[in-house]
Amino acid sequence: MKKKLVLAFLDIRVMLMIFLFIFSLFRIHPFLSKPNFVRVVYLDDKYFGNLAIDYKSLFLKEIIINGSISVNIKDRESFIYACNKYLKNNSIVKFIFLREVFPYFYEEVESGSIVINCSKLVEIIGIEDIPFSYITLGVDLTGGTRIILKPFEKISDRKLEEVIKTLKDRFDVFGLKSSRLFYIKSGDKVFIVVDVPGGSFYRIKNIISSQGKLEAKIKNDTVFTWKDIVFICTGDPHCEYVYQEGNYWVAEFEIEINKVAAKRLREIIDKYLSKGDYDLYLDIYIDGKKVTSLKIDEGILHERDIDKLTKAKITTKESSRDSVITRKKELQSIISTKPLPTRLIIESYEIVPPKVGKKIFREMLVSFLLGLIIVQSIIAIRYKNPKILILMFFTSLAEVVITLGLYSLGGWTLDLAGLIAIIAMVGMGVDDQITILEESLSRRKGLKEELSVGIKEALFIILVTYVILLGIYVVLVMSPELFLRSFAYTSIITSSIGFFITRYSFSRFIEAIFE
Amino acid sequence: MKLLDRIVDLIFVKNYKKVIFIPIVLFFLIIVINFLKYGEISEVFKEDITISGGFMIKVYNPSSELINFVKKNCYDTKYCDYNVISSYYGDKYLEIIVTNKGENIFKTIKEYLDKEGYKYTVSKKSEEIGRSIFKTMIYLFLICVIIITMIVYFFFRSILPSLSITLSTILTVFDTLFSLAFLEYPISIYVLGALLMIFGYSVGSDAILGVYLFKRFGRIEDRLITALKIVFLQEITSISVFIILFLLTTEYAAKVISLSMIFGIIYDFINTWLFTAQIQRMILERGK
Repeated sequence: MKKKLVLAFLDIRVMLMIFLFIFSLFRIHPFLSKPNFVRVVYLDDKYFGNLAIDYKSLFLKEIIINGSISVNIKDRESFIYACNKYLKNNSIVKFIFLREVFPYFYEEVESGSIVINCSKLVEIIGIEDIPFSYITLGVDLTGGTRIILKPFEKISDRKLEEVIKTLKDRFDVFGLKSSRLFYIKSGDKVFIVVDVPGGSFYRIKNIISSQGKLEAKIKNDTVFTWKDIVFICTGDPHCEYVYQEGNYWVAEFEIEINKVAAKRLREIIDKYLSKGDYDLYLDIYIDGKKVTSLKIDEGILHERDIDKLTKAKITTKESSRDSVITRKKELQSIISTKPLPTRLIIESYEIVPPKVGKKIFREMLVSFLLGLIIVQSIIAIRYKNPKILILMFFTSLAEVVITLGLYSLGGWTLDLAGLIAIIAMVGMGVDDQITILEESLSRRKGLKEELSVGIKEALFIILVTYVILLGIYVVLVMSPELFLRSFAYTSIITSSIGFFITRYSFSRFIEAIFE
Repeated sequence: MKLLDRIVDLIFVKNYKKVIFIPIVLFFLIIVINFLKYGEISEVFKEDITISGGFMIKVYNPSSELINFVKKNCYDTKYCDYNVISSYYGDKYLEIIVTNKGENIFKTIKEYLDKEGYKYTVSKKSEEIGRSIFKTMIYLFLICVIIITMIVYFFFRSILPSLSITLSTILTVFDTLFSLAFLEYPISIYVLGALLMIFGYSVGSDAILGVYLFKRFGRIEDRLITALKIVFLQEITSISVFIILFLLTTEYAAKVISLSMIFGIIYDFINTWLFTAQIQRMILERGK
């Protein structure tokens, strides 16, 4: 039997299974204890240079402010705290990163000194708390918002790509860099899916539901549109301001228009001045709705230098500091990107608070572990053979680990539906192993050829089931309902890994044990 | 074991021609029970918001004031429904389902939740997407039935076994749907997805049955019982996972899928072994 086992280990598919299992474990990269650093999700290349190219392998460990204050960044909260407490205007900051050179082995990397304040800091570097593993979990497991949009009218594939890019740009300007956008087609219908981990639905709703067509008018005369804007101030304290005015908070940011538009502004002002109308306002409209109205002061009314007419300010007023900053970011994100080629209608959405998402994830994890234990207990009671038990346990575990490894490698998102599919496979995947085992047990008293024939017949039965289920899953993958698509994708991956790799490997070991 | 052997002997040896009627009687019994409960057949199958569109709110550890507030708003309206469910982890959650026509009720409840500072999950389901999937699933069922019939016919070269398997699968699907309806679970995309999985699952057990009946030697009863024990073990392992999932999860989708699979696997077992297996056995014996 030892010789047979060695030969089984040397089988190419068995070696592949073992290799994929170990590789997947490293890829999944579980953090079993909470580390004292955070993961970097974004670095602005203007400030970090080459480090920004490699940001995915970096972790932020520490920041040193003004050469003397050292703050260990063990989570997002400590980062925000350090930012608010220590970073004033023109603070000198140095970042100490850790670069992962081998799973769980790190080297320290320092950035150069950067002169910055707190509000700019959160724009040039994005961080997140170290997740349980490197698998990207869906918003239904981490908390956040998922929205499914439908274009108001039929659009071409090129315009669809434009919509996705514009929305992504808007989210980036708004500070939601970890958002995911993709589209799904169902027949002649197209749906755009927006996943924003940790994002608030109401903030996102304004960004996505606005087509973004900006017009500036003096009375009924159009002065400039979005096409004439050459610069929008975002994140620069020299051209954007937030201040309190009485009971309200005001946010302003500058925009710059081209000279053609500035000339048009001059002509329109002159037209009204010639009629004796000095009380002029520049009204800014987005999608036909007035967002702000700027009084044209004396200086502008009589300014003849066209270059000086290219700058304008967009102002917004709200009752609280947070809401005025949010509104400012919304306007900046909408104006700084091209208008959407079509309006988008919100078809469905899902909002999950982070605590709830984590609770759901824990429930699924417990269900998975308990399911695995109970299945293995049933196998143990039935077969009373430790070799079989170990083999079946490892095969089931390998299917799940390799599936998760593929998810991590592909950067795919594992959501609730995917987790349910994996849990279902724990029970249903064992069925194929039972088929192989029973065929082998019923023939082991016979010749080697009989055992092989038995295993071949078992694999045939497994093939029939696999093909039928694959057909069903392939159709489900084409449905517009995300839950079913995700469920089907994961089921296809797990059952294909099972059929092509793990169950064949299982049959080789069974052959070796029972020959 | 002796008791088990006696039961197996009773079913598969002495009365195997009579047990064919058990699944059919069971099917009609489930229909009658539902009819008695609901009065009209149209009331039995309700669509949930994943098909007809609507809103779902889930609040963890709701206070009695909140439950009363929801009760008051959902009272005497068919657009709103709610459940207070206790989980195995010791906490409670309130599930509120509002159809598209009850959007005002949804807004009222949501405003109350925001005002009181509750943490909750909320989702809006699209009717357009739901109906599109529903149509796709119905076509898929029909295609699956046709394909399975053709595959089995190709295997057996006889129409009777393929029809018996098809009928058994259809019985399984409707038994599951009626059982869920009796427990007041409406039809949702999750149920339909689970039923499709049961199709594929059912093919596996039918394949084992077919191989043991037609490709093995020895007494027919012995072959049947061997196949039965294998499939029984498989079904126990599958069902145990779904029972765990059903008991431990608080997520509606996971609960519905696992419950559908539990019913589907049980009915598949009954229909396959009391109906399909006996018909195929009679064909075999006639062939001798």
